[in-house]
Formats: sequence, C-alpha cells, structure tokens
Amino acid sequence: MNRKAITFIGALLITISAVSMAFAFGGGNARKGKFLYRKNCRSCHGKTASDLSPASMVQADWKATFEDVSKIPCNKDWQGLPEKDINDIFTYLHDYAKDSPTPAKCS
Amino acid sequence: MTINKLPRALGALFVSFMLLAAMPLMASAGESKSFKKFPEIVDYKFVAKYAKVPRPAKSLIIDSRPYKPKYVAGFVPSAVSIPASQFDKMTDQLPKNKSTLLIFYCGGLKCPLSHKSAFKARELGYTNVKVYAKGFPDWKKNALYHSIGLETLKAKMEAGENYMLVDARPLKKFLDGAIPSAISIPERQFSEKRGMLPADKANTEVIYYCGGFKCPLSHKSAIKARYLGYKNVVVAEAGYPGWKELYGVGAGVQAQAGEMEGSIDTEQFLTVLKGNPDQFLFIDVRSPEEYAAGHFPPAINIPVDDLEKRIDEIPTDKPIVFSCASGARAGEAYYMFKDMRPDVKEVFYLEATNEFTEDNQYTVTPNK
Repeated sequence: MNRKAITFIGALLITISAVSMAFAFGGGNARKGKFLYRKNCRSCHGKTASDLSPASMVQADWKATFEDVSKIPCNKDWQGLPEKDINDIFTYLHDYAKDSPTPAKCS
Repeated sequence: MTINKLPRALGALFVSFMLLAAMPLMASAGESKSFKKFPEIVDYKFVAKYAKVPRPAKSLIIDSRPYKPKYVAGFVPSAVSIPASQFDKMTDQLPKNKSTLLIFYCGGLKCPLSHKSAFKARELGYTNVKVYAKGFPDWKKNALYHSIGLETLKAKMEAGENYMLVDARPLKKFLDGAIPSAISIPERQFSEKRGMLPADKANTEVIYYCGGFKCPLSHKSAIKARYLGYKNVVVAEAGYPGWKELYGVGAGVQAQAGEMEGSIDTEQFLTVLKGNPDQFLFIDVRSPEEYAAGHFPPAINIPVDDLEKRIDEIPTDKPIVFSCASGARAGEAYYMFKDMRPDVKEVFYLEATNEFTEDNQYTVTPNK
C-alpha cells in the first residue's frame, strides 16, 4: 500500500476518534438510566438542589450539559460512577427531554 | 397367508433359542423359573407395521410394564400403558371389537408380563393376540426412535439436561401456547428450518411433540431428524394437550427473556396472565390512582416511589414481573429491585405499552 493512502486512513481515523470523543454519549439503556438517575441524582435534585427531570430541558441542552461532565456543578457528588452508568443516565434524560416524543417528569 | 406362518416359525425358533439361553442360568441360580410363554410371538418387523401414528385400523400395541418408571421413560410409538398388575382393572381400555389385533410387549425375553396379559386377553375373547417377546430393548435397538412420557420430559427440564424440545405443530398453534423451553419447527418447514436444530448431533437429545396421541407431525419430524444424522431422537407423544392437562399452561419453568435487558417475552407474559396467573407475581408500579382506573386482574399495586420502602415485603417464591403504562417505570423498578435485592434472580419487567379499562380489560402492545 502506498504511503499516501496510509497517511490518509490514519488522518481519517484520528478525525473520527476526535469527533467521537467530543461527544461519546448516547444509545444507552434509558430504563436503567431512569433508575440510576433516581439513585444518584434525585437524592439532591428535587430536594436540596433544583428539581430536575428529563422534561426540564430540550435534547440539545442535555447534550451540552453532558459535553463535559466535569463542569456539571454537582459533579463531585457522583464521582466514581462508571462511564456506562453516566451514559444510561444521559440516554434517559435525552430520550425523554422536553422536545422528545415522550417528555417525562420523574415518575 | 404368509404373515400368519412367519410369526409361528419365528416363535418356534425363539422358544428353542430361549431354552438354550435359559439352561445355564437355571442350572446356576435356579431362580429364573421359566414362565408359561404365549404361543403367538411376533418380531420387530411385524410390530413396526403397527407402531404408527395415526394408529392403523383394528390394532393396538400394549405396554405391560409398570407405568412408572418404565412406560414414561420410553415406549413403542402409539403403545398404550396397561400394566400387567392392573390388567383386570383396565380392561375397559381394550378395544370393543374382539378381532382387533392386540400386541403385548414388556422388558424383553426374560419378562413374563406381556405373556401373562396376552393369555388374559385371549380369555376375554380376543382372537388376534400377539406377544412381541423381545420387547422394548429390541425396539430401541432396531427402531429409529421411541416415545417418552411427559413426566420424563419434565424431569429432564428440571434437571437442565442436554436436550432440545421441538414443537412440530404450525407456528400459530405454537404461539397460542407451547410446552416451556420448546422452539417452533413446524413439520411442514422441516427442511427450511433444519438449521435451528442443535449442532451436536451425537449428544443433544432432540425431543419432538405436537398435538397429542393422534398427531403424526412429531413422528414424521423425528424420522426426518434421524435421517439428518441425529442419534438421539424421541417423541413426547402426549404433546401439548397432555402437557396442559398434567402441568397447566406455562407451568414449570422460568420466564423467557424479551429483547431488552430484564424484559419478559410479551407473548409469554400474556399466555401466563390469561392461562395460569398464579405462576408469576404481577406488580403494577403505577400510582394508586392509575391502578384504580384499571389494571391486570392478578396484579398488586406498589407505586415505584414506594418500592424502596416496601422492597422487603415482596415475596420471591415465584418470578416477579413489574408493569406500568409504557415500560419506563417498570424498567426503573426492575433495576431498583435488582440493585437492592441482587440475590433474587427471577425478576422481569414488561417492555410494552398498556391500556386498561375500568373493568380491568387490557390491551398490551410490545414496544418497538
């Protein structure tokens, strides 16, 4: 294979991974996310923090919020949560957002 | 007619062989007192003509061994069980027409039961009585397959044995209700669907069933499977009607998983709900108001917001199925339950959209 092609494919791969790293969430288990959200987030949100449900925001806002989870104010409170669980929570919030086909309050 | 002469000749041969074989035994142990043998002996080839479903006219094969454990463990296809010990009580099982061919068999050359019953049948006036003296061991050696009782199937199921249960009826029948753990390979689609049969032809037992004692589909499929090279093929002859009678609908085995993690197969959910609701614990996790406006008849109400508090009051002696309106809260309940009581294995939720009316009528639509 010639060098140019290799360079091209390499560049392509880097671009793809960079883009996907920029936003890695989606396609999780919304059912599990609903439970995880209750377990890890509702303990504050709705009690001591703002009442936050999927339908509190539109999908684009949820995406923006999860763009960098370290910027979320209460990030400290759910440190150590596996990436997969965060993704399930995101999927739940995003898929039931205000502008989704099925906007949802928390239960 | 040659058919009549052949068995007689064979019978004579057999008797002389028997004497030779029994001689040393009698000399050494003296226990095997030879019993009175029935004169009309038939062989495998003769019996095979009648061991068919549907049963050829004016014939009946009778298993003289005890029902349990012998008959249920394996019998000649189409044979009925009339244990020799019960013969006098069970004469009503014999055909009315006394010229019907009756073939008795039991556990082989040393077994007197079939001979005993054959003599009794002749006394009752039956004119065409035979004994398949080599009996069931000989059948197993020569035949492509044999039949088993549902009791044996259930035992295999519970022991988690290495078998594949195949429903040979049309798909529609299968969907209306089937024996737990069965897959559907309708006899008419045997060739197209033969890829669904197990890869291990030598060790995995293939068990066929269909619509009961008069249904030929399972027998046809069993023979085809043997020609495909499956070594271990049997037919659970009593089929789905027999299963329903013995064990009820959907009985005996755990829920089947649906597509989503933790979800139950919607078809199975409905089958059990309609046919045998005692099999599952149905928990409706919607609010009390929603529950009051209509719910699955056997369901109890534990709103998802109360589940955490009440988690320990939930009995776990049968599979638990959570349901709500869309699957969202039921799914949440499922994960919460799994999180709080990880020891409980049989927990599911209904991934479906459900509508109820006040008199507890319901419409269940699987999601996606």
